[in-house]
Amino acid sequence: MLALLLFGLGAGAGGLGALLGVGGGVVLVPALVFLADLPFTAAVGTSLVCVVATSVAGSAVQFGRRMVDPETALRLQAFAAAGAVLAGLAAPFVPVRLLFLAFGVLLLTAAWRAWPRASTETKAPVTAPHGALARAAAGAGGAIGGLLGVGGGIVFVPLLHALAGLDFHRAAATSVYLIGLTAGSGAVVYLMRGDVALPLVAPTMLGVLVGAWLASLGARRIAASWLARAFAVLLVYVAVRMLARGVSGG
Amino acid sequence: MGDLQQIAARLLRVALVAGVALVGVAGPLALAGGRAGRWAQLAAASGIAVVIAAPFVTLVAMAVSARRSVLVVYAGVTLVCALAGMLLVR
Repeated sequence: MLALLLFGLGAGAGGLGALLGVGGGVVLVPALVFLADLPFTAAVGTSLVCVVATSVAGSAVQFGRRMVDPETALRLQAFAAAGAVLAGLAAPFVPVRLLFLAFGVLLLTAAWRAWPRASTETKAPVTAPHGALARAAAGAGGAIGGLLGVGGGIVFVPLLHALAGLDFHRAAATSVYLIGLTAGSGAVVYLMRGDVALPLVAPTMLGVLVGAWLASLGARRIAASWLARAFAVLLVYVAVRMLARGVSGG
Repeated sequence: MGDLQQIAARLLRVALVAGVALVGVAGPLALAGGRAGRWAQLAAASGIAVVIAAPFVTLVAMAVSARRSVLVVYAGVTLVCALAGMLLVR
């Protein structure tokens, strides 16, 4: 029963992640904590493995459509991977209560980001696409991913959109590829440390692969604005639960 | 950069199919005990490894295909970061 639940959860998280340019970790980590009763660190490690699956399924479709900017991805990825690995190594020394609070704030930010805006046209880059600010932001995105079990798409999408000047669809597509490398860098750290619940990975990852692939194929036909609104409401609900747990002491 | 996108798309599609096949078939069988269950666990773990390795293989393939030393260096730094994380944990 839990396997079926995790499959459905993975499909939903993978689908939403692939559509919105995030990895789905913002859904998976709280679900693994609250539904599967995993410790926070194990939920983060398990989520990171599944986030890689979202990236593989989503970017397989997006590369085929030539929506990914390979040069920007290649240039920024090294900084994001470094951030993810450093954060993964530091994670055991960070208090769990602080992680819950940080995740709650992250979810509220993600909800604000996910809410559809009237204007999504291409912006002029405010800095050099591969300049110091963009590299620092990529490193921060990687660190957030490694510490909180998300891909870092919450940082990458605005980074690629506002700083690198990609339009929203290309930014989301490039972000989907970037999060695979970032989450993969963090996931190997958690795997080596034994902080991945392998029995739960198979059903969740399978759901993620199928959900992300189907969502990427149908991305152009879905009214993304309504999906994003529903996603934002879900994020706010989970954020409140995470913040409450952080305040009450984890 | 057009060819790079097709190379990446092909590699990721192969990983996707292999991952779904290995994890999808072997994952449920791994729950059964005994020798078959152990083989199924190994196959499911291989599927997970294929999926995790796929973005890195794609990265290296794109960097090498682009034939630009700066991109190869960035790809190398990314791989070194991932490997350093593994080695530091061990």
